[in-house]
Parts: sequence; structure tokens; C-alpha cells
Amino acid sequence: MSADFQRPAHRIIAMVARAGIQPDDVASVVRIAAAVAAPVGAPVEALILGEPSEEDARQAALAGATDIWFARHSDLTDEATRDRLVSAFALALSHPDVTGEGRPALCLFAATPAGEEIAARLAVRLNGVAIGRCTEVALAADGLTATSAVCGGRAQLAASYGSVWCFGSMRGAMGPSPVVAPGMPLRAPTILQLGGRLPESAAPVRRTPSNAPDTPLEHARVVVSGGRGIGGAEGFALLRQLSESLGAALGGSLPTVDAGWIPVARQIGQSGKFVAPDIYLAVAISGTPQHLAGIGPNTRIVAINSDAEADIFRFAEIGIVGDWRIVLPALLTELKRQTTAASS
Amino acid sequence: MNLVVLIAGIADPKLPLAIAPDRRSLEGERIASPFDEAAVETALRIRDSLPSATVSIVVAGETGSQGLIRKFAAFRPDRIIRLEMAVPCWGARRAARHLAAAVDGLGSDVVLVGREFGDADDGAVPPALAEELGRPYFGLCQGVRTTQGMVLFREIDRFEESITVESPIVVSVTNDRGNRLRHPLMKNIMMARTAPFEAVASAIDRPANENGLSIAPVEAQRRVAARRILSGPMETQVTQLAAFLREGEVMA
Repeated sequence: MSADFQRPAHRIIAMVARAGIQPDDVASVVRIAAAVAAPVGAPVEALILGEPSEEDARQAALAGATDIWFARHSDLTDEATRDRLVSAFALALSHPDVTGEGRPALCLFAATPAGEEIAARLAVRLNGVAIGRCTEVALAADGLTATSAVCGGRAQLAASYGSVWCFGSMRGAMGPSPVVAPGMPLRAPTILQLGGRLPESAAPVRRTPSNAPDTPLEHARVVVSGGRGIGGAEGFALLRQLSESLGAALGGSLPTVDAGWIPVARQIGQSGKFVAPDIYLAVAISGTPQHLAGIGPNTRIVAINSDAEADIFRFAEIGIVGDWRIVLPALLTELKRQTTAASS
Repeated sequence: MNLVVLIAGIADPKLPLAIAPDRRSLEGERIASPFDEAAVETALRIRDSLPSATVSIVVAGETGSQGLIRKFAAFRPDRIIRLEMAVPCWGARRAARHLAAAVDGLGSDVVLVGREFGDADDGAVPPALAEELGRPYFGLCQGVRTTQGMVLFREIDRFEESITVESPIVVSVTNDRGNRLRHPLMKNIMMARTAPFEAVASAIDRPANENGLSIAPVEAQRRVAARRILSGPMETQVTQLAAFLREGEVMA
């Protein structure tokens, strides 16, 4: 039986944009691709847009990539717009060194709004399939099956595709990179010099710094998040104090954004940011599937809610049944006391 | 300026999910998602500031869309159209082709669509639609300013991004305090109950189930290492919680 007998129909390429104002974390994207590849023992390629970097190559290799491509272009700067990222990816995927034997690829992007946009646009531009944000992708010799959450996470949709290029994203756990197994073949990265000009959009985007001072959500070790039960902006002011006390990032559920208590950039959930901190402190959050979809599966949830029957307690490692108006001020005082005691 | 708003609606989250026997579609009336409403409100605000602007609301779906049509008719769009295509339309490219064909027939300048079109829990349809139409795309728009031209904006991390709309474009709209749907006048709600609407067949054929699509309900599942509700005097609970947040462990 030859080694190709069970070879999956698709190559697996982790698509990493290191240019633009929100560069992807190399290891996170490659790790997701590696998780998809692992059940079938397939190799993982990493296509990294941006200037070649030893550190990026190292991160990609540690996360499981055995073939690494750097696609460079003078227009791929820190200010590169998504239009340029889409164009650059399209050029890179059309490069003869990348298309190789013509086998289709499963191209996996960061599960961010930018990654999902780029994946969908490339699917159309390159006449592939947009598989969307998946919870699972199973590879087989005749194609793949992509499973996605739908209907607010209440159902899952499974769709199977044959040998066609597929573009999508997956959310996954963040955490330490897997150690490269001894003997795993690691080739030196290949540099692709993309030619021509990357077209800019007919509707150029202007960018100005905003007044958002808060710790970014994406890489916070601790996230403090409030739900509808907070009841108003004043409650979020207290949550902000708590997040600052913990060195945490502040987030909120969809209803709190709709109410104007927190900006949409801080929304966590199926339709908001996906976060995977060590600890997620959910205050007055009921625990709907839509909200939990925004929290990494390995994150330790701590819940404070006055309703002992709230769903959030089913998923919390520890919880306090109590009114946040009483618990939070006491918690702030106690944190200060413990911190002072620890440093004296 | 011609504004076209594309609406799919979602399965009502307050009701049990009704998966059809074919396991590919959903039964029941759909309701507006927060993103559908935000897209409509954005279009209405633009029309408020540009008297020459027209708003056409396209509600997708042969069945389950009656409530949506009546709801949005109450906002007095210039046209309200039912696009006869299957909803949910799984597959972002397939949905985008349906919508692109419909948009092409309407003569639009700005296409507005909620950041999630229908019950697919991702934002793939709007950018796919922009590519199908060959138009620029501005995703996750939070609002519009009309004092100096028509400027759409969004916040990304510590930046605000904006564009001035001067050419045909596709815009996806996300929920924001500033774009909550207004309340329609009662007289318009009454009028909408019997207002006529146009029905347009999709120009795209409905394919066979070549992707082996199937839907199945799921229970929310998460790995739970331990579930412990703290007890005792609140002071003790708070002490334990503080220690956990600082150290990652709960002392007995």
C-alpha cells in the first residue's frame, strides 16, 4: 500500500498576514492548521505575508509547519489595507512555486473579522469555496467536511466538498506552542517576491487614532466582562476599575454594546471578539451559547451572578452567587489588601 | 443615491429551533437580527440626510419572511421586495450569487447588509457579495456621518477607520448604540399590514444538495475542569475569589 493511498485531497495552508495594522499571531494560525492536519498525518504549510523573519519562521515551525513561504511586496507595510492583503494572498496562491502540482488546498485564516473577510473574498476571487468559520474540518482522500456552528450556536452545519480550493477560518485555544518533535523535517523558508503593484481600493480607507485606552482583548491573560445584568454605564465603570486592578482587559456581551455601555470593539461572543485568556471573569452574564462561543474552550471561567440558576454557572470553574453591586466593591478592596500584603 | 438593504432574518432564539425534515432548512417565521436592524437604520439615516436618496429593502426567502416584510414596510422604504430564494442559504458564495443577481437588477449605489446574513454564524456573505459585484467592501460599519459628505466609520482596536462614499460599494453593518433601529410610527405599522410588496424570483437556479449539507441541533459543550460555587460568609467568598484571580487557585 503506497503512502499516497490515504493522502487527503487537500493540502493544508495556514494563511498568516503579518502586514497591516492587525498582524496575525503566526503560531495561533499555524496551530489551528496543524490541529486539522494531525488526524490524517498531513503536512502543514504556512504562507506568511510580509517581510521574512527568523522569529516568524521559528514560530511557524514550532507550531507545526514543515513548509514555510514568505510572500513579500513593497506595498505590504504596517499600513497595508485589507484590499492589499487580499490581492497579495491571491498573487501568492497563484505563484507557480505555490500551486506546484495543482493539488487544491484548504487555506485557513485567523478567526478574526479581517481573516474571515479575506477568506471569503479570496474564495470568490480564486473561484474556490468559502467554508466560513468552522468548528471542525475533517480531511479525506476525496475531499473534506467542514462543520460550522449556525443559528446562534444552537445547531451545527456539516458540508462536504470535493477537490476544490477551500477558504475559511477556525477558532481555537491559544496557549504555548507545541514542541517540534525530533526528526520532523524542517525546510528553510521559501521567499516569494510578488511583482507588480497591489491595487488599492476604489474607496480608500482613512485611519486615525481613536481614544480607546483599554488593554487589547486578544492577548490578555485575564478578561473582565459584564453582561446585561450590570444595568448601566456606572456598573461598567466599576468593572473598569476591577480590570485595571487585575491588569485585565475589559469586555462585554452583545446586549451591553447595544445599550451603549461598552464599545462594539469590546464585544465578546459569536458576533464579537473571540478571546482565550487564562481567566474570564463573567459578571452578571447569563451564559448564552452566543456569548460562550466567544470564549476559548480551555479558558477558566469565573462567574458572579445573582441568579443561582444562571447557565454561566454550568461552565464556570468557580462562582459566586451574589449581587455584583456588593461583590465588586468588596473584591476591589480585598485585591488591594492582598496585593499590599504580598508586597510587604 | 440608491440604497439597497439586504435582509435574511434569523430563527427566533426564543423559540425551539425547528429543523425541517430534510435537515437542510429551517421552519418557522424568521425575525430580524440586531444586524439586520442596524443595516436598515443606517440606510434610513442616510435617507434622512439626503432627500434624493431612495431605500429599497430586499427580504430574502420564499417562506418565513412575511413578518420581516411587514416589520420593515413600517419604515416606509421606497421599495420593499421579497427575493424568492431559499433561506437559510448555506454557503457564502451561493448566497452571494443570489444577492448579487438581485442587486444587479436594482441599480444600487450602496448595498447595506448586516454583518451576519441569516443564520450562518459568521461574516462571510457580505465580503463574498462585494467580490461577486466587483465593488469595494467596508465591513463592520458602526455608523454614518453626513455633515461633510457621506462618511461611514468603524472602530478597529485603537483606530477609527472611515471612508467617504463616492462610488458603488458594499457595506456590512454591525450593532452599535448609535444605529439602534428607530420606532416606526403607529400609523405606518398599521399601513404596513396591508402594504403591497414586490416579489422577485432569484435569477440563480437552486442547486441539488451537492455538498451533502445537513444540520443537527447541538447542546452547548465546554470542558469544565471543576464547578464550585463558593459558600460561606460573603467576606470569605470574596477573599477566596481574590486569591483565585491573583494566583489561579482557590484555597480551601
